[in-house]
Amino acid sequence: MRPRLLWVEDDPVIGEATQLNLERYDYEVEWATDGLRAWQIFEQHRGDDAAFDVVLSDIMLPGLDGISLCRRVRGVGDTPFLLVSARGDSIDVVTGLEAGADDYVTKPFDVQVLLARLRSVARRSLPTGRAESGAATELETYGDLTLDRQALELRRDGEPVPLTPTEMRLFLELADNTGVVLSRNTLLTRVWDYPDWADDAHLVNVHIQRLRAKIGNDRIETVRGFGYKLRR
Amino acid sequence: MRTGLRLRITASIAAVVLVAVAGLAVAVHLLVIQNRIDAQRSNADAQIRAAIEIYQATDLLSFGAQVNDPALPSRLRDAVRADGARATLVTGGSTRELWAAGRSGSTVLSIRSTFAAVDPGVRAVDQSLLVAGVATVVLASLIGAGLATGLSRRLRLAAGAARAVSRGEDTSLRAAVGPGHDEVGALADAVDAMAERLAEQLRSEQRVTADVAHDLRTPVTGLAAAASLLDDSRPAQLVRDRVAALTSLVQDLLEVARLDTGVETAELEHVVLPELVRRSVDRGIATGEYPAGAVEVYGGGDQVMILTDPRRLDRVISNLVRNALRHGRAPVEIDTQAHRIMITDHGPGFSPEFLAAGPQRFRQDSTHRDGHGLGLIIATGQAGVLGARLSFQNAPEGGARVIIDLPGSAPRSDA
Repeated sequence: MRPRLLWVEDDPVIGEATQLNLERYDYEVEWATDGLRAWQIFEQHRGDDAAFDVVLSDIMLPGLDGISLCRRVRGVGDTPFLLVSARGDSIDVVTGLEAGADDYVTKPFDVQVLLARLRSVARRSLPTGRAESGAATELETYGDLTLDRQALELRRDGEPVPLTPTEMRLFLELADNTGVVLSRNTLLTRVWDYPDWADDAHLVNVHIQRLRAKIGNDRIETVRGFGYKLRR
Repeated sequence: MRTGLRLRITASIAAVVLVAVAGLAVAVHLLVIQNRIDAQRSNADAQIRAAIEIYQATDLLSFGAQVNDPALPSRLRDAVRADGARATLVTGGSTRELWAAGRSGSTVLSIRSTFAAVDPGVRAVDQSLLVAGVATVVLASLIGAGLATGLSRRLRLAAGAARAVSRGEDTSLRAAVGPGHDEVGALADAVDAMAERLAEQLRSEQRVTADVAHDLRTPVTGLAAAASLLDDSRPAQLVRDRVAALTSLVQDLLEVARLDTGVETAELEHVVLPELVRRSVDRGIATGEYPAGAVEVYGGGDQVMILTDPRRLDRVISNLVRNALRHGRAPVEIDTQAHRIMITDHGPGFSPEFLAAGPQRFRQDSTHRDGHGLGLIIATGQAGVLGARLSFQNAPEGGARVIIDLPGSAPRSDA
């Protein structure tokens, strides 16, 4: 089945050309030209067969800006959300990531870069298949956290911790290397599928912050100049 | 020449006062002597009159008077030709000779005396004149020096403020020299007006950059998205290639515009400098920006860890390397030592005009024919955010060289 994508962009040329591009690469695209309309469309299909697999939204929009839209989408679920930011805009991409966006591209963007980002975010939201199928997995504990790899569920003091697919991937990456320092670059490559020369402080830093807010500040340690590690 | 003005004003005032006081003192000195001679004369005249009266009455000589003295100067003898006439004559230099003569019938009586022209009384007057004169000169010099210091201090403050303005600090000469309505104030106002005009010119250049960048962003994004829909024919490839160039130009313009606003802050991290340089070069090669083998990395034996913003430093390095590859000639050598990165190419080097004026937007080194010349502006701007200093020079063995000096202490940060 073709992935369904909600595309929010007010510029007619960027909107149409990007829609055509995405359709060529087998996305089923619904294009909205303002934030409020996009939210209505998203709400209308939420939970039904035509629910969206991913939202791609500009930040500067009439009606409802992309960051507020992201906050609303995050409020009702963990549908992957990609922001299109414009370098030089007053609203920073950091605000968007803090609102729960999984990744972003910067205008003017290259279509191939956009497709790579979409593929990566889609891959994260699929079941990872990390756990050996059939084998009864043991629960792993990290302090007050309990990880069930098969159910992809994280509990803190028995209470489920709601993680977005990206946050879960980040946690699993850290959990797979408990006690090992992972550089920001390594995390970008493994979690976001960035090329190995890429660097982006915001994406990793903000996601680490978001994860810390959910699982406790002390669980992830920052090793100055090197990266992050998970404490057992 | 920092103290030249003050010294010259003080010396001029001292010299003028000295000449005036000296002239006055000489005049007073001569007047006092003249006064003294006049007194002696009238005294002698009284004596000779008394001597004549006594002589006429008693035939006795008094007051040392002589009868028909042969030594009597002929001028005086001529002056008393008439009966009853009297006259006095003063001759000589430091010791004056005073003659007084009077006629009584055919007899000429005369009194001769001498006196010193400069006696202790005159000397006392001279001494007071000297003391008063020296005091006047010293006082005038002090007042002059005070006035000159005030003037030259304000001029020096103005010069300091002008230097600060040219470094880009937000200050004015008027604030430095105070509210006076004199020539220094007028000069300060004039320079401030000039600086404001230049700043306005720069701001309008910056506005143009920002407006162009923001107005182009949306159409270029649409153009790029539309161009990627084209097939793989040669014309389509040409369009896509030019769209990619246009996209990169707009991205550069947007970066310059953001740097212009001055709101950019460094996000500091500890990084190992040689590693960061190597990663930056690897990235350039991986993205095809630099041909493989065109960039050589040296140094870095000492794995210095520094606090900087790695992404901005990468922007500085990559813009400098791209500029070197575009306008110089490969290989581009990057040498890292402690807090210093040195990028040298093997091209013709920077032109003297460029070395004098530094990088300027939309204006290129005369030897540079292609490219929009924003790379060096971006490198300079990003280095500024990092608190690093870029220096442009030509290597002794030829080729353009840019040196990045990273700060030893922490640059400005978010925190």
